[in-house]
Amino acid sequence: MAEKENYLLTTKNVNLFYGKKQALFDINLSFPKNGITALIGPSGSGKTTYLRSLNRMHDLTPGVKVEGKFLFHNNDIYSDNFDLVDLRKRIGMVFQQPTPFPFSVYDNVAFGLRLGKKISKHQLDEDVEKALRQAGVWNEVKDRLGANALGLSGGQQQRVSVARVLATKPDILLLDEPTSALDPISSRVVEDSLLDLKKEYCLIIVTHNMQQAARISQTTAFFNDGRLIEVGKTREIFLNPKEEETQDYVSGKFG
Amino acid sequence: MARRNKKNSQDPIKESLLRKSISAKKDMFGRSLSLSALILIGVVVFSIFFFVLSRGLMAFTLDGINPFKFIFGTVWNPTTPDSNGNLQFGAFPMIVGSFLVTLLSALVATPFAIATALFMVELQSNWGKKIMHPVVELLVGIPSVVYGFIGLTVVVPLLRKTFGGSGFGILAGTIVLFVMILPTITSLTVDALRNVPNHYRELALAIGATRWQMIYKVILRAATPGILTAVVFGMARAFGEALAVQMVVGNAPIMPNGLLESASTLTSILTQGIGNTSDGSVQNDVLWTLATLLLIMSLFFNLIIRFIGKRTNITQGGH
Repeated sequence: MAEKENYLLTTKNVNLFYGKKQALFDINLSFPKNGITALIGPSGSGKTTYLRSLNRMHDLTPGVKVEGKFLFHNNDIYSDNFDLVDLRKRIGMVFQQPTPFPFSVYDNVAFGLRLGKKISKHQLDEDVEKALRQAGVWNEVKDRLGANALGLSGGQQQRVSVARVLATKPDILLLDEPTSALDPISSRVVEDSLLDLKKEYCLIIVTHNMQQAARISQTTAFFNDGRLIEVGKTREIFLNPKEEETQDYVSGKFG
Repeated sequence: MARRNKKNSQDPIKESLLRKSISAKKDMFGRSLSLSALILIGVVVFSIFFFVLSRGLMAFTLDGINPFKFIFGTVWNPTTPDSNGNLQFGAFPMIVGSFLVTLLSALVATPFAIATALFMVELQSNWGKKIMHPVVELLVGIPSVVYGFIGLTVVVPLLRKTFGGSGFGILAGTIVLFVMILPTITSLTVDALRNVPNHYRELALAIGATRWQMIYKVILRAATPGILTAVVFGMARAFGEALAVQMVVGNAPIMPNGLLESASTLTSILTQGIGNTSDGSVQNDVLWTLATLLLIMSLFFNLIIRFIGKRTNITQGGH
């Protein structure tokens, strides 16, 4: 593995409990400054649970206990003095369902920007455009920024959702099966946008689609039953996995 | 007929396909049952409308009262003739009174209702669900005469002591109605807030919104049509409320000069007069006209609610 300094986010010995039931066992995983890391594994393997622990989304669910170290800029994000609001601006999340707010496209993307200190209308316009361009959806929506975002197609909605997160200029983008609710063509467009983003951002994507993981990620981590079975270069995981379980999963024997 | 049956019996599948099955017959039965119920209700509603409307128009057609003067006239004197020997039927004071108590009580109740609902849904959802919600729903079911009675024995004397005068009037009516419609608006606002999909909350927080920002920038905004519906429902209830208002408003059919002077509403004059007039008299006809006005207004409130509801469906139609 590469040298430690290049990692933006490091997690050590992560255990997670839903009440008494343990959902994650001793996960050690690190993420580089840029590039795409794919988390794969069958349903219920804990990959989404793990992803949501990375920006403390479990705080919203009562009865969830998270243990372990989550080092981000050398600070533990679960420490008491860590500002949750700031954390979520730096580690943004895109959900499985394309979920724009029932507002206009512009208001959706500007949402995160308007949360902080006041910025000028001009600056806002610029940031919104930039985020939409980064998400690869600007050309399609530039003439309908005032229209309700729910009127867009699924693929457009999802890219607007990506833009909304990008607008706040996060360091890390968490994507929870961002294309599973989309048709193959829309998925492809979203994937292309993600490929553009990997140069500048650290992207962590949960996906059920192994072809997608193979197409876009550099690193792949395979989860099963709440355990991290294997992590490595995507090529290695798919062509030459060390563990038998991984082999069985990527070759389609279960999952 | 017989020949056809013979033919069919050669092909049992064809026969069973062409014959009405028992479940299809049951289906038909259920369908006709609910259809007849629907027709019955439709007939009842239509008859009520027809009846009230026809009686309400009698004051104009039979008794020759000028409709314009009726609605905008400010003197209500249905029994004793004035110096020219005419009876005066100006319903404007009651119309104003009705709208005043409705708008004022809704104006006061809405902020309280929204705050209460937010507390129940967003801030203390466990406790809110277990205790507050049943309590609020209980309040919705309390008969209005109880509210009126409390108003009469508590609110009116309190106002009398504090501000002087009789204590009866628009303010007393507003206070009683405020208490009455608060649970209605709260309960419906709670529903509206609950209807905001949970992922909006997650999403807002995941972008870095504080809880308060999430509430006022996302939840309240997404729930606005529902909250408006709640307010209009409350207003419809306030507008149509008769008993409780009649007990505290004073029932003087004059233009309200201030909040503390005795005034009247459409409903209060109606309930007061309905037993004191004989069927077919002018005095009785004009009460029907007041009833028609009430009916039209509640129809209007209903239309507003439907209109808002329609818009809600559009904004949430994405999923």
